[in-house]
Amino acid sequence: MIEIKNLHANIEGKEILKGLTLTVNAGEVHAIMGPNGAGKSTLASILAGREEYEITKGEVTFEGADLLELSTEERAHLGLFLAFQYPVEIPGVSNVNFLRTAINETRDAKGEDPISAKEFMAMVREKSKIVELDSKLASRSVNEGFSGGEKKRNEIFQMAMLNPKLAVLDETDSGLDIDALRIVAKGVNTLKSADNASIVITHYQRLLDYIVPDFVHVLHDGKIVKTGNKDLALELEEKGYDWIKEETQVG
Amino acid sequence: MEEVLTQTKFDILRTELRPTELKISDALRAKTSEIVNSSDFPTRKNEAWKYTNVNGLNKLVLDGKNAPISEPLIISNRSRKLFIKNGQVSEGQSVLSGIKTSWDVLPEFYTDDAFDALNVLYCTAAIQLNFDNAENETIELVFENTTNSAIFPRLFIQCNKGAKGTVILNFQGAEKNASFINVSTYVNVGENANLSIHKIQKNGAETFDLQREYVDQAANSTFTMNTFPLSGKLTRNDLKINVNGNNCETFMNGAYTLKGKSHCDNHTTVDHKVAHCYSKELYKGVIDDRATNVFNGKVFVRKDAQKINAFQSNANILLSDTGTVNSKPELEIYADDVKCSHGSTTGQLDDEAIFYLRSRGLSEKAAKELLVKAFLGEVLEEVQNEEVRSYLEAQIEKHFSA
Repeated sequence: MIEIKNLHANIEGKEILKGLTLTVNAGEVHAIMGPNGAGKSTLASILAGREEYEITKGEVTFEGADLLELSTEERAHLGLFLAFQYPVEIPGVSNVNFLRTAINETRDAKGEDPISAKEFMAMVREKSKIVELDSKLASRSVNEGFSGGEKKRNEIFQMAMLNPKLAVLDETDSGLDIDALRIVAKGVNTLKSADNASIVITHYQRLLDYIVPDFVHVLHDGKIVKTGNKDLALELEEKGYDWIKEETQVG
Repeated sequence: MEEVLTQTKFDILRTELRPTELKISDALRAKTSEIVNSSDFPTRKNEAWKYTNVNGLNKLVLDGKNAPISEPLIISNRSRKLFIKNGQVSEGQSVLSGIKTSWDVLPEFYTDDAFDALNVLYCTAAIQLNFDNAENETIELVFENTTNSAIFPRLFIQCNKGAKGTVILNFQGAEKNASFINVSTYVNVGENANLSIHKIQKNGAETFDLQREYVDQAANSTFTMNTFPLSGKLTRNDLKINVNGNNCETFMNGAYTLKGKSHCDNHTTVDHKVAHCYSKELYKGVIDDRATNVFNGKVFVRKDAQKINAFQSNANILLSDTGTVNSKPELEIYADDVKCSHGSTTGQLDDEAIFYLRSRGLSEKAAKELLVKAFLGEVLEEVQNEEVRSYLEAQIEKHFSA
């Protein structure tokens, strides 16, 4: 599904990613963990197409396309979705209007007809249930006045509506209480299928109690330094990141 | 002995204008002539015209060149309508009750404003609208401007005690029209009356449009002025509202979409002369290309005008690096028990919001359009008349698809 090879990236002259390599296949859930400043959010931003980063080396292939050559919206049309760590509040733009525009732009890019109003509303009703999002929130301005938990649930609601091939969840657990975390995780698990995949970026193991990863990668100093199964996350939770750092330095 | 006279810019302008065919009293003619004769075009030194230069008026060629308007003229299907073509009340229209278009002599109203005085001397149409009952009738004045000409209407709007009315002032110019529109509107809102005016200025690309509204509000009345400059070379609106009675409500809303080299200037004044009144002003606009926008909002709260709530806000979004905004809110408060606020912001569209929308599959253009519509939407929500609102929504849509 996605193949990241030897990715190097700078922001304002500072090198953040220093040769990151990762392959994710359909049906898989990958967790990326790591200490603050390791480059986790940078990876999410680059995959989504944020323009502040300069790619100095490496390549990313997504669904057979050279991802780095595509605009942010073209990536979305191909089935890439980023759940933001800090979802943006957009006063005056209603959630459902914006989602209908988003769905129709994607359909248009694929040469498909726009979604009918009836079909769309049925989809809103069905998908908002997955994350227990009040239908009133669905029609309000995007994230405006939402609590932290509501914003994250709204991210997963949008993900459900857009039905991506690859979802990148950027610290979706940050700022969530345990109930919200459970709801968000349930949403992600419900949407999981053999045809899609997700990359779950997190600092803490907590989220992985609810979203069970097939692979856990440790990102440190711009590179993946260790890969394991879900037990690696538990080990990190117990021992912290320092032993990884030491191990890396020794290596 | 021969007197050496320096020619003013008004003198030059007047050679292009045809004196009014309406009857003016000798007194009114003398007073307005004196005002114009002793004036010249405002310059930067004149605070009220600091950012707006009207010298281009004398470069206008009012040659009567004609071009049709390709878009639908009318905004409201539900209203009674009066058509004014190139400044003249169109002939052959049935006489409607409450609308007066013929005069023995022009009403004596005038101010010391030179363009208002000029409007008297070269008036092309004088129209009075009367609202007498609470049915909230809508009257639309359709100004169809297809030839390059001087369009000098004088409007008198009377909303009598307890009456309710809606007026749509609909200015439509042919795409490249180069006219001089100069409008004076005198408004009287009686006790317990409720009047709304929606003004749409969709002028030709080379048109100069200078308009003044002089409004008097009596006790317990509500007045709403919605102003929408949509196109034109230069648009200047002076809205002056005297709140003369207690318990009045005053609403002023404006939305503008400027591009090319167009220049738009909205000057508003609300004068709270007495206590227990409420006024709210919201002007928002987007400025693209090399366009410039000026906003000046004055709120006076006179001594003893206690318990006034006055709110004012002007917000601008620059869509280009070359657009300009000059925004100046002014509060002058002489009473001590009042609640007043004003704010002015000018900025760009939120990059983070654009990225967020694009990450969901919206093109950059669609994302920007959605954000601009949301930004102006706050003003459109204030527009009670559905037909006007949907017209404006369509215009904003078109502005961005062009």
